[in-house]
Parts: sequence; C-alpha cells; structure tokens
Amino acid sequence: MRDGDGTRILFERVSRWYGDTVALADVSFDLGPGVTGLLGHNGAGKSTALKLCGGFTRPSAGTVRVLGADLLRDQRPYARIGIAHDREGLWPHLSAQATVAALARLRGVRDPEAAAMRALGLVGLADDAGRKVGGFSHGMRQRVKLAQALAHEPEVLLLDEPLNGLDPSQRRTVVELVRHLGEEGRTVLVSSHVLHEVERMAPRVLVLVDGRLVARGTTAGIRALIDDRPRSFALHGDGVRRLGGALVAAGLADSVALDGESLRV
Amino acid sequence: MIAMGPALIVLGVRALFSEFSQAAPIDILEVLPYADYQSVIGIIILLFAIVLAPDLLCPDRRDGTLALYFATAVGRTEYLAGRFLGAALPLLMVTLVPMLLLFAGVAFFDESPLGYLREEWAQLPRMLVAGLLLAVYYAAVALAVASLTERRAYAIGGYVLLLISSTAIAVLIQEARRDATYAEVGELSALPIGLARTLWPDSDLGTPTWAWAVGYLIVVGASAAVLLRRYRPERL
Repeated sequence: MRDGDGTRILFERVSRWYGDTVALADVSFDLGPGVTGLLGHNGAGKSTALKLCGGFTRPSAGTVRVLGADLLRDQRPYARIGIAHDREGLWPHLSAQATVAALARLRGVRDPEAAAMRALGLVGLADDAGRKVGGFSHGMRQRVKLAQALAHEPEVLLLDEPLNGLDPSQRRTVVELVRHLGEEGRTVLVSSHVLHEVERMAPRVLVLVDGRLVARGTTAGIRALIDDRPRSFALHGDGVRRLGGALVAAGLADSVALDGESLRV
Repeated sequence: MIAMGPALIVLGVRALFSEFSQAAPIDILEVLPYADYQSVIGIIILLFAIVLAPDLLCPDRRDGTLALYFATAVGRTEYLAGRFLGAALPLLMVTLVPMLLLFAGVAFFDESPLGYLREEWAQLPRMLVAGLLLAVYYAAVALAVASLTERRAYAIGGYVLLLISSTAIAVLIQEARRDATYAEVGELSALPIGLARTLWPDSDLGTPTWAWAVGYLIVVGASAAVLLRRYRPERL
C-alpha cells in the first residue's frame, strides 16, 4: 500500500469547499516518514486537511491518498493509521483501558488489553487506566485519544491539536512522545496554531493561511521567514515622537508615523 | 414478557378450565388466531422499537464518538448493519417468540401433540416470515428517525409523530373516500402487520397483498436511504 517512493500521505491539488466557503484551496504536498507540523490560525483549514487525510470528508477537487489508498473507498488501511481528533468525544461510561482496548480490537490487534495498557503507559495514564473516562479532565481525555491512536502501532498518525488542554509537564511528555514516534520512522502529521509548539515536535512544517498552503519547509526556515517579515507596532505615551526619531536614527525602524496621540512604527 | 401476555393468558385459561370444558374444549385459536396475534400486541412492538432504537444511534452522535468507530477498519455500512441487527434481533424476540409459544401451547393441549405438529408445521415458516417482516420494518423506521437527531427524546417524539400522523391521514382519506381501499396501506404503524396477516390463507383484509408489499418496500427502502444518507462522510 505504501507508495514506492516512501510517500505515505499524498495531497494532489486538493480543494474542499462547503457551499460558498472555501476551507482548502488547491493544496498539494506529500509526506514520508517523520513528523510534520500543520500550522495555521483557527479556521485556516488544518482540521479540514486532517479530516481529508482521515477519510472523514470527500475532497471537492483533487486527490487524497493515505498509504496509497482512498480511505473513502477502502477501509483496510485504517488498521495501519492512528487518528486522534481534538473535538471528538469518548464513551464516558467506559474506563480508559476499555476504551483503548475496544478500539484496538476493532483494528484487529491480537491482545487489545495489553496493547491498551502499553499505549496508556506511553501517555502517562497507566495509573488511571481503570477509571471511567467520564470523570477525566480535558487533558486526560486528550491523552486517552492519543493512546487509542497509538495502541495498534500505526505507520501513519494524524494528530489534531494534541497539546490542547495539557499542562506543561504533560505537554513535555507528549512532545517527546511525538518526536520519538517520528524517529521510529512513522509518518506523523500534527496540527497546531502555535509555531513554538510545532517546532518542538516537528522538523518540517506546512503552513496554511485561509485554506491555502503558503509555506512548507523546515521549522527553522519558517521561523526565519517570520522573523524577517516587517512588523508594525503602535506606541502610546509621552515622548513617543522623540522615541520614533531615535529608532529611525538608529536604523531600528523602517518608518514611523504619528497617528493622533500614538506613534505607529 | 408483556408481548407473551396474550398467549399466556389464553393458554392459562385453557389449562385452568380444561377439567370443566372436557366435553367442549376451548378452541384457543378461535380466541386468538395466529394471524391476529401481531395486531393484538402491535402497540407493544411499537413501544419496544421506540425505546430501543434511539439508544442505539443517538448517544454516538451526541457524544461525538462516531469518528472513533470510523477511524478503525469499521465502515459506515458495517456500523449501520451492526446497529440494525442490534434493533432487529431484540424486536424479533417480541414479534416471533410469543407466536411460537402460542403454537407450542396449542400443540400441547391438542389430543395428539405430534399429530398437530405434523398437520400444522406450515404455520412455523409463516410465523418466522411474519416475525421478520415486523422486526425489519420497525427497526428500519425507528433507526431512520433516530439518525436524524442526537437527542433521544426528539427521536421518540419524531417516531410517534410519524406513525400517528400517517395513520390519521390514512383514516381521513378512508373516511372521505369510501372507495380508497388502498389508503390503509398508508397507516405506517400497521402496514407490516397488514402485510404479515396476508401470510395466513384465511385472513381477509380487502387490500391485496401486492399493495401491502409495495407499501412495505417503499417504507423500508426510504428508511434505508435516510440512514445511508445520514452516515455519509460529509454528515459526520
């Protein structure tokens, strides 16, 4: 199922629109092993791109292939794909272990109970495995979703905002885990709207703005692009006129303009 | 158990009064013919379907867990087939088992139980088909209605409204036009019972079997179409 050139996720001129709203426009990329960040502000099209990858919606135009298959027609590759949604729920009456084990069983894992415990251990929930998910915090539920995506040791992982709702220590654990998964040769596509989060997990990044893929490359390269971009600030207070003059004289500002009581730099 | 009530009552009365009625034994099937059994317990079947179906579909949509299923190798049609069996098999307990109990009871009280089985065995496939017809119909309609909402209460209300309104419309048409014989096919609550009754040769409903069958296929087909449409990827 894997393409000969190592491509596991392929987007070819993919567009997706809902009525008059364009969620994704003419996006093309291909991903092999390793972690790739999907970066963009809220509404940029990250979730739509992940939904298309996961076979949860049909592209309005273009082609999506994961492990060489169109998941809308062929469900078999799901046994080799792990998906952790940000917004989807869990069965509140099931324990964490029962949840992960049930989904592992549906994916054909031989010993789902053991696989569930191993995956819950990876996300730091081994001690809470027997507790019902309904009593979990948002962060714990996020980690259960991550565990169910890992239990069957998939080749491809689609993680939608996996750090949402986690405290700093949990974030560190998950960041390390995602990096480790990439180093193992799995293809991980992880979405976030925070660059510094993505760059801790992913050496490569795809940047979406208003449904368009505007940049792709190493996170360091994207960071440099952002740093090179001119920015504007509004300064308020006494002496802003003098400060503006000093900034221009020192070569620290390209231009300054007085806007009422404030100075735009 | 409630669905078995009519059979248990008739058989119980037959057992209690067997001593007194030895000269002219009670004919159980005259009191409760096989063809009429499902219409006697029709309301129980309806209530069972109302209670059962929403619990099979609404929680997954409400709790947002559908994507968890579909992120495994479980396909949408497999999911729906599983839910359908989850509704139809328990319904079969209500639509089929009570009639089998009645058949067993009648055979038991017959002068020659084995002779009765030999002569009347043809009732068994009729009962099986009648039970399946009802279970499939009520499961399909109840699931189709439940698929339209994530709230159990709305699903129950919608199901009741659909069945009551269709019956009311059909009755009004029959009242307005005496020659509108086929209008009773439009009573969605009783349609499968009408079709099932035609399986017994001595039943006389007026409306031909083909009309019941066409009505049945249209409703079950429409329910299946609603279900498949509601579980298209774009609808999740």
